[in-house]
Amino acid sequence: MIEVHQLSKAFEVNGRKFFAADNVSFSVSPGTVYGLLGPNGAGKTTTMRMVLGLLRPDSGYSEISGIRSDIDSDGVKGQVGFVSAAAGVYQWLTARELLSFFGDIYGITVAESRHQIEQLSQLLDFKHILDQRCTTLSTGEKQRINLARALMHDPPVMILDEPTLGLDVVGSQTIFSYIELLKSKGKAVILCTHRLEQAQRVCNRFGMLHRGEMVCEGSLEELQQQTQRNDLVEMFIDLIAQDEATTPVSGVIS
Amino acid sequence: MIADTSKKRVKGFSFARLKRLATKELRETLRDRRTIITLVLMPLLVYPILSLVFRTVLMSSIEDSSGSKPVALKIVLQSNKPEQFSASFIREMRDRIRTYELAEANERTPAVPLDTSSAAPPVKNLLSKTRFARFSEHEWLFSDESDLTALQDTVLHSDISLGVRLDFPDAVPPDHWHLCGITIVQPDSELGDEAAVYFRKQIERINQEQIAAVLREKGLPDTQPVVLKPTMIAKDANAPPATQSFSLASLIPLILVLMTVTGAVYPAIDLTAGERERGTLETLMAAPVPRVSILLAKFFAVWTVAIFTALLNLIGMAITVWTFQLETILLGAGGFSGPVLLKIFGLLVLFSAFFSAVMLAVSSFARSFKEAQAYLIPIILLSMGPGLLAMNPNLSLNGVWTIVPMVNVLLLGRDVISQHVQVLPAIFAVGSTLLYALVAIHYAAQRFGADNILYSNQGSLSDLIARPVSVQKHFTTPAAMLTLLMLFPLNLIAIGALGRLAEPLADDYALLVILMAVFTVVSFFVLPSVVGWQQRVQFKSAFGARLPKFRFVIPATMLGLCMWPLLAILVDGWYELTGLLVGEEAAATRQKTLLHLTQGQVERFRQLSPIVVAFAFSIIPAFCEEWFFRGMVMQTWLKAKPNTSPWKAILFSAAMFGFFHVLSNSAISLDRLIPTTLMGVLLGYVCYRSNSIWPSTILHSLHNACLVFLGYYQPQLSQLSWFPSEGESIPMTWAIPALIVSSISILVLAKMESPAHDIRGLS
Repeated sequence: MIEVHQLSKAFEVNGRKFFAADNVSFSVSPGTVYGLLGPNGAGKTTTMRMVLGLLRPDSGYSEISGIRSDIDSDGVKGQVGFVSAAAGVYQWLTARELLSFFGDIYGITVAESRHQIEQLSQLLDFKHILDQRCTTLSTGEKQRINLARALMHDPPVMILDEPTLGLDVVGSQTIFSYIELLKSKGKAVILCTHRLEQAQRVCNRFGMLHRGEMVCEGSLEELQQQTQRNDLVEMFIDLIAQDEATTPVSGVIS
Repeated sequence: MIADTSKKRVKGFSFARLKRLATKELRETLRDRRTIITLVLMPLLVYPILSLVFRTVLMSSIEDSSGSKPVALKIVLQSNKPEQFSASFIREMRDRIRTYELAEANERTPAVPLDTSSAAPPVKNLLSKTRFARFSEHEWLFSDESDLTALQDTVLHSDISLGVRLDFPDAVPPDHWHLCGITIVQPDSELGDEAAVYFRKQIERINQEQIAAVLREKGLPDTQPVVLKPTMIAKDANAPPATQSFSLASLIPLILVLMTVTGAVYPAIDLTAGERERGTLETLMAAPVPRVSILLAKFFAVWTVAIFTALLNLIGMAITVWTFQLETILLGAGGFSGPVLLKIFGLLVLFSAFFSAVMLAVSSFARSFKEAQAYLIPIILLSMGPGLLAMNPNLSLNGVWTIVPMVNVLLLGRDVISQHVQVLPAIFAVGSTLLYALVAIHYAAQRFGADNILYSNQGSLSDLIARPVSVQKHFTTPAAMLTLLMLFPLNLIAIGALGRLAEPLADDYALLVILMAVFTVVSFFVLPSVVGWQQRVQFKSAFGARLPKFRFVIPATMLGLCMWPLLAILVDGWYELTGLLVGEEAAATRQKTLLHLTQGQVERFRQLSPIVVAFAFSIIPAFCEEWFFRGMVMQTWLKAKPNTSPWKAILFSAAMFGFFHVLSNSAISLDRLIPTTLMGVLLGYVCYRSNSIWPSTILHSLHNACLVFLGYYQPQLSQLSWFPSEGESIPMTWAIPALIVSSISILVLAKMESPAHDIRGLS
C-alpha cells in the first residue's frame, strides 16, 4: 500500500546542509498501523510530508497504491487522510461547514458529504456540536473534528502526525481507540507519536528514526531482538543516550 | 461505518464547487468582526468627517479669497478695427452686462452675510453670492495691438482677468455689431476660469436677447442661429502646469479607491497568510485540489468584500455630498447623476478586482498576519503615488498611461466624472487592468502554500545579511533582490545629482561624462561585487563571468552590429502606435523633442575624444550593466528556480533592465521601456545560450557604440550619399540585410550546442 524508497531531504541552515531524512525506507500494508518514532528533530514530520507529496524529496521516492508522490502528488493526496498536531480549524465556520468544505476540496458530492458528516459525527461523538462555530470548541473536540475532516473522502491511507498532542488522557484514549478501528477497517496508517505505551499497543510495525536515519525497523519482536530491550520506552532512552554521547555532527555536513 | 461510501468524485473544474468554496471563504471573512469594522464603520464615519473638514477648509478659503472687497473684473479688449469703430459695440456690451447685474441683484433674496459667526450657511448660496460680489466692478481697457498673441501675452503676464478679441467682418456698418466674432483669452488661474465662465454667460445672454429682438423684428420662428459666437482660447499651452488648479473631481476616485483597498486588505491577509497562522494551510495543501481553484475562491471572496466596501463607500460619499451640498463644487454643474454613479461603481468593481488580486499575490508570500501587513502597507502607501499622479490635471488617459496600473483606472474615473470618456483609451485601461488581475491571481496560486511559505520560518535581518561560512556558487534570492532594491534609490539620487551638476559643469562636459561613468561603475559593478564578496559567492558562477566558447562571440558580434537599424524601426513603430493612441500630432511632437534632446547631447559628445566616448557610452555601461542584469539578477534567478523555464529569468532581468533605463531617462518617460526591454531579452538570451556574460557584453557595447558613433560622426556621415540622413527613417536596403544577419545570428545561437552546464530547453 505505502512504499517508501530511500527518501532523502536536506535543508540548508546558515549555508550548511542538514539532512532531515537520509535514505529512509519502509513499507506499510493495509490493516497495518506503522509507528514512526523518534526524538524531536529526528525527521519524522519531514518523512511524512514527503510521503504525502507536500515536500519534494531530494532523492528517493514514495508511492501509495502505486502512485508516486513526486510524480502525481494530487493523486497521492486523494488517497490519504492527513491529521497533524499543528492542524488548526477555521474558527468562524461551524463544524458542519468545515467538514462540507473539505468534502468539496476532496471532490466528493454534496449528498455524500452530508452522509459522511452524519456517520462521522456519530462515530466520533460530536453530533451535538456540529452547528457550533469552531472557535467555541475545546482542544479535544477540535481534534475530533480534524480526524473526521481527514476521513471525509474515506481514504485507504491515514497519516497521523502526533494526533494526541495537547490532549488529556481521555482525549487521547478516544483517538487511540479510533486508530484501532481504522486498523480493523483495513486502512494503512502511519502514526507518529510520543505516547510510546499506547503506540506499542496499537501499532503492528515500528520505525525508529534518529537524525534523519532509520535506526531500526520492524515488528515489536524484531525491534526487541535488534536492540535487546523490552519496550519502546527503553529503546527510546537508549537512542537519546547515544545522542548525548556523540557530538552532534553526524547529521550535518558542510 | 467509515468505509463503503461511494467512490464517486467530482473531477475537474466545476462552477458549483467554485461557488461553494468562495462562499466558505466569504462566510469566514464576513463573520469576523474586523472585516465588518472596515466594511461598514469606515464609510459611515469617514465621509461625514471628511466633508466637515472639507467644508471648513472651503469656507475659510472662500472668505480669504473674497474678503469684503469685491474683485474688479479687468477686461482687455482688442479689435481688428480701430478703437472708434469698436467703441459703440463695447459700450453696448458693457451697458447690457451692467443691466443684467443690476437685475440679478434685485432678484436676489437678501444676501447671506459673509460674516459666518451665525450658523453655517449652505455652501452653495455662499458661493453664488461670492461670485456675484466678485465681479460687480468692471474695468474695461482697450489694447492698441492687433495681434492675438500680443493679447495672449498681456493676459498671461499681468493682473488682467480676461482678454477679449473682437473680429469684425471687413465690410460691416458700425451698428451691425452683432456680426462680430468674439475670442476669449483666459489667464491660467482660478480667477481666470471664473471670469471666463462669467463673461461667457453674459455673452450668451446678449445672444438670447439679440435673437429675441431679431425674431420680434422679423416674426420668424425661434430657430435662428446664435448671433454672437464666442470662441474660447483656453489656457496657454506653454504655461507651466504648476499654476493649473487641480480638479477636485480627481480627488473622488482616489478617495474611493483608497477606501476600497482598505476594505480588501484585511480579507486578503486573513485568507492567505491567516491560513498558515491558524494552522489550516498544511491541511489545505494536503488536499488534492489545484491551488488555482483555492485561490480563485479566495479571490472571489476578497473581491466581493471589496465590492461591498466600494458600494458602501460610494453610498456614503453620495449621501454626504448630497447632504452637505458639495456636488456643484466637486463635480461641476452636472452634479451626481445615476449613470455617473453607476459608471464609477463599475470602475470600482474593476479596480477592486485588480487590487484584490494584487493583494492576494503579495500576501500569499507571507507566513503570518504581521508579515503580510508589513508587505501590504508599503504597497498601499506606494499606490498613493500613482493616485497623486492621476490628480495632475495635465495628465490625460492616453498613450502609455492607458496601461499603467492604477493611474489608468483613476484617470478613467476622472473622465467618467467629468463625462469625457474616450472609447479606445478606456478599452485599453479596462483590458490591461483585467490582464494584470489575472497575472496576479496566477502568481498568487503559484506562491500560495509553496514549500518555503508553508514550512520555513520568518527570517530575521541577520539571516539576510549573515555572511555564509562557506563559498557559495550563487547569490541567494533575497541578497539579489535587496541589491536590486538598493539600486533603485541609488539610481534616483545619482540621476538627480548629475542633473544638478550638469549646469555648473556645463563648461567641463568631459568631467560630467566621467562622473556619469563612475556612477555606472559604482552602482552596477561595485555594489553588486561588494555584495558578492560579503555573500562569499564565486564570481565566475554568480555573475556568469565564465569565459565563453569562442563560437558564441561571432553571432553576438554580428547582432551587436546589426541591431541598431532594427531598433530604430521598432522605435518608429512605437511612435506610430502611440500616434494611434495619443493622436499623430502629440506623438510627433514627443518624437521631435526626444530627437532634439539626443541631438543636443550629440553636439556635446563631439567635443570629446572618440576614445572617451567609446569608454563612457559604450564599453563601461555595457560591461557594468551586463555584470548586474545578466550577471547577478539573471544567474540568481536561474539558480533559484532550476525547474522553471529560463525565459522567466530572461524576461525578469530584461524588464528590470528596461525599468532602470526608464528611470535614468529622467522623470517618467516610458518611451524607452519597450525597446530597451526587448534589447534586454536579446542580451539575456545570448547570455543564457553561451552561459557567460561576455558575449552579451560584446553585443551590448557594440550596439551602444553604433548608436553613439552614428551621432558622433553624423556630420561626416551625412556627406556620404549612401548613408540615411538624419531624421529619415531607415531605408529597406539597410533594414533587410540587418534583419537577415540578425536572424541568422539568432538561429545560429539557438542551434549551437550550449555549454554542458545546467542549460534547460528554451521552449
